[in-house]
Amino acid sequence: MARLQRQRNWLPLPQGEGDFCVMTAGVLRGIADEVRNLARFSRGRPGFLFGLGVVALTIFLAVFGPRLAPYGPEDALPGVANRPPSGDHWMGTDISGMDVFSRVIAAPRIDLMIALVSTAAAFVGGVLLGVISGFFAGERGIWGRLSGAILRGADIFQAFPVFIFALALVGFRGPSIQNVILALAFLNIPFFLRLTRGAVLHVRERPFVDAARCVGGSGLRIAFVHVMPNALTPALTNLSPTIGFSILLASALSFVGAGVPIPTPEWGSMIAIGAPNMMTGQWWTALFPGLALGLTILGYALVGDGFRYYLDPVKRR
Amino acid sequence: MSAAGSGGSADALLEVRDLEVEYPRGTGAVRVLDGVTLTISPGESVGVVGESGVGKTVLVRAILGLLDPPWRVVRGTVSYRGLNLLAQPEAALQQLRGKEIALTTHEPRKHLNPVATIGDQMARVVQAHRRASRTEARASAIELLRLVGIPDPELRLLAYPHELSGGMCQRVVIAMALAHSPKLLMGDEPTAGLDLTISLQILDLMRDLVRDFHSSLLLVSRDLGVVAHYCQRVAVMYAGQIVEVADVPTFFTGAIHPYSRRLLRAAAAATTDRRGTLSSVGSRAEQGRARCPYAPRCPLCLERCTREAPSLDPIAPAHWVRCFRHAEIAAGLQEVP
Amino acid sequence: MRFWRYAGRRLAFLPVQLLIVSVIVFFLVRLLPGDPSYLLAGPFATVERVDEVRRRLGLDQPLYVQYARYLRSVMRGELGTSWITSQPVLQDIGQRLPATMELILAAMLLSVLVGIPLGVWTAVRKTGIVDRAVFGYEMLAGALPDFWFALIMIFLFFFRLGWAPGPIGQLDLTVSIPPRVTGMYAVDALLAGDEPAFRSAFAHLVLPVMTLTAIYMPLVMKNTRSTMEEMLGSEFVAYARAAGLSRAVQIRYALRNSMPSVVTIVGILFWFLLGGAVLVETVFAWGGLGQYAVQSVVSSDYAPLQAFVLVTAVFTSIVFLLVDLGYFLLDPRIKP
Repeated sequence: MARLQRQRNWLPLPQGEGDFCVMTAGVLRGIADEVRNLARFSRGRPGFLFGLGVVALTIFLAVFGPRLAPYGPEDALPGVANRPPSGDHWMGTDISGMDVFSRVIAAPRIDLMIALVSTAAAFVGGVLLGVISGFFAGERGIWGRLSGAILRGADIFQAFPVFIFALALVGFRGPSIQNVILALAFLNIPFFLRLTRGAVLHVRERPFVDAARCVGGSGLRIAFVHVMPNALTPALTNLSPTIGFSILLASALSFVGAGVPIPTPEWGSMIAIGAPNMMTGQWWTALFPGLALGLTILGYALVGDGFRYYLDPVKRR
Repeated sequence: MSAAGSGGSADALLEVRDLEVEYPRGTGAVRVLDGVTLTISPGESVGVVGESGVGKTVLVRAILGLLDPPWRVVRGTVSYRGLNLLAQPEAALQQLRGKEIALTTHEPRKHLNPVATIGDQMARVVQAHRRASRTEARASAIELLRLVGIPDPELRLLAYPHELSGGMCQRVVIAMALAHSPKLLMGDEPTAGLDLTISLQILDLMRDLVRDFHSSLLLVSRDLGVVAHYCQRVAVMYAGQIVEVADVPTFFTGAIHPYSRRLLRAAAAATTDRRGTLSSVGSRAEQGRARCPYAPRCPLCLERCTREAPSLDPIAPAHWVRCFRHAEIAAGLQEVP
Repeated sequence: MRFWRYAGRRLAFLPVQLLIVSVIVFFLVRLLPGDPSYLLAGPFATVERVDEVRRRLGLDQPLYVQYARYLRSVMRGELGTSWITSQPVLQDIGQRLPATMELILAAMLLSVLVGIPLGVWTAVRKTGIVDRAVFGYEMLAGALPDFWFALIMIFLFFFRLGWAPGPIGQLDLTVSIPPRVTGMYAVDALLAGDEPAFRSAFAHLVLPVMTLTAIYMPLVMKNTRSTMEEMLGSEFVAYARAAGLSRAVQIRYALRNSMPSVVTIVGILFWFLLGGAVLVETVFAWGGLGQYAVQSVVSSDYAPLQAFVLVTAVFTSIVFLLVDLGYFLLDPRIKP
């Protein structure tokens, strides 16, 4: 992060062709270095590798899933309802005759999209609010009060269990994909807020902040240009687990019928469709989507875990 | 007074011999104690002086067998009345701790249980090595608190550590350490973080109690003045080794090792502040052992000093020095700048 | 005395918290697309009903007046009427709350009784295989969806093995409900000495409670373990060892110092279980508040949904207050 700090304060902008080549070569070299570091880091950690694999797979399926599906993910095939797994249908068919496998691999697209958009929005909102809340914490004047109010607000929202509030938000606005994204984004903001605020409280004690103040920067400028880049680590390490958790929430909402509408392939709604079947012995309809869901969330959580160690400067063996 | 340093005598209470302790780091290990040799006789007060990070606390912990993996004792023995402590199982050591050898620590408030009352904690210490009912333990606790000069001990029993001042906590710790009249009391920087007047009171208290109980005292400190006043012998530690041992009068009039002399000069210069702290640059143990550890900083360093490691040799009945040029320094031929 | 002062201070703060919560819940209705009075009255409402709702809400009045009205009706217990059940929401909630409480309390009890000892044990004894198995279980439990796991349990224990009754609610259809004392069927059956009812109620409790416990107990276990590890490695435990105190006493010191943190985790467990209960109730057709809330969402029955959010938030605030009080009792360093 110290590397980032130096770059933020003094950007060597390219002037002319030669500089541009140097810049590109530098960036590429840097990326190669980091990839090599990451590879070395992953060597002894099977969990982290598994997680990375899961993340890669879900991204791949999100892009190519529907196209690779052997059957149309929303096609109700006539005459093959409730078939167990077979050569034709690797994961069987559900009650409407839709091929489970096709739907399982087509589902990441919607879930991942929801999770990525809402997490990105929550990250931006949470970090911004967290920086303000942390940097001006304890000060007098309007900014100080604002920082206290932000924290107090985040605290109050804690009284609502996450799923219940998501349910309410979607319930009142109506079940649709946009509303799910909105609800999830809104709910994850306090989380990133708290993480960033904690880091900012730490970073603002460091000497370079005082130095920046002496040079005469305004509060906001110091907060965002100097302090924020160095306080991003906790929020960044939690990006991956939050994406996983958002997928879980979106699925839970879809399961109860308050999320993604039915024909669209989504793991949660697939489990809901398969729920009655579980009680009559057709286990495949709900099992596979749930397995996919669980493995996905596990993978994202493991990646988050791994990155926590990776980004921590104390990462000695 | 028996012979000091290595090759201890038969009636030594504690004998540390060639103790080497290391801590793994990266692909290798840091040798924190690099051949420490020290002897303490019954009723003696010995001070160990050195800068921060030189290994004093590690030495004390090693003696009590408190170093868990990844710490590793590479070599050496710690003999308590002939018993090799390093070879004892935890159960046996637990019998000794507090009963035969007791430890006081620096920053006492951090080392007391924050959610238990002083009375509770003292009662447990009393009950650790003696069959006593709650009332008996409580009575003993009150007596011990009185012994260390705490007013209104009955009230103090109900207090929590965070309600007591630093000095009071240190008295409590001393009381706990003396609960079973140990033969050896080890004080690990007992005055760190305390005010000057309180420090003196604590040290006076320790000296008096040790004398009354006929115990030995091993006082670990960064403060040469403290050691001078309260100990009979001084051992100087540098880079995980003992570099000089002498009785106090000899040391303060005729210390030989260049590092000892430097400490003396620094202490003399800081007369207004007895707790003159020195920089710890270079005093940590180093990897290579084929040279004198003080060589980089020594004004009298010869070429030989960078190729060979001097051993701790007796130059007088009670005076041991680890330096090739001790003879010249002793004869005054070499003025240590 | 010290405790009561602290309790008083926290209690004074509680109404403020609840007030702000009510403001948030109040604004939830504002999210509705369209005319809230129509939506709140429901699709079968008569014109008079809609007018009644509109008057009650005071939609033509400024916002603060609307809020005041809302607050007043909540205080009076008028939480609206569900157009699905045609009953006042308060009554609906009263009927269903014990069922949810039974589920949550049972799951909490089990999670604490199993999770805390396991957490302590794995912290004290660091054995390789058990450690890894426990860690794997914790990761899995955090990743597997609770509603899916409930279905798996039903499939295994009801369909395949036939050990548990089907997910049709709290009692077998042939068993009559015991006289209502607490509203929790198992408890009431026990109190009334009604053996068949108790057996049926208990049997129906097993699967949902096991599901909740299996998923959420690791939370307690993990936190207990990490707190214990932290305490066992602390300086005062190290010094206790140096002073000759036995390992048992050291563990006791560590445990006692871990208590405040554990109490906090139990409060958070409640928070998690509230959300989990909604899903599990849906799967098991439990007839509790969670299922009620889901039904309201799906059928656009907004009054119950709003009341449900309010009730859960109030409960959670009270539980957090209790946790804070517990923390205060356990840690003498906190100032009253």
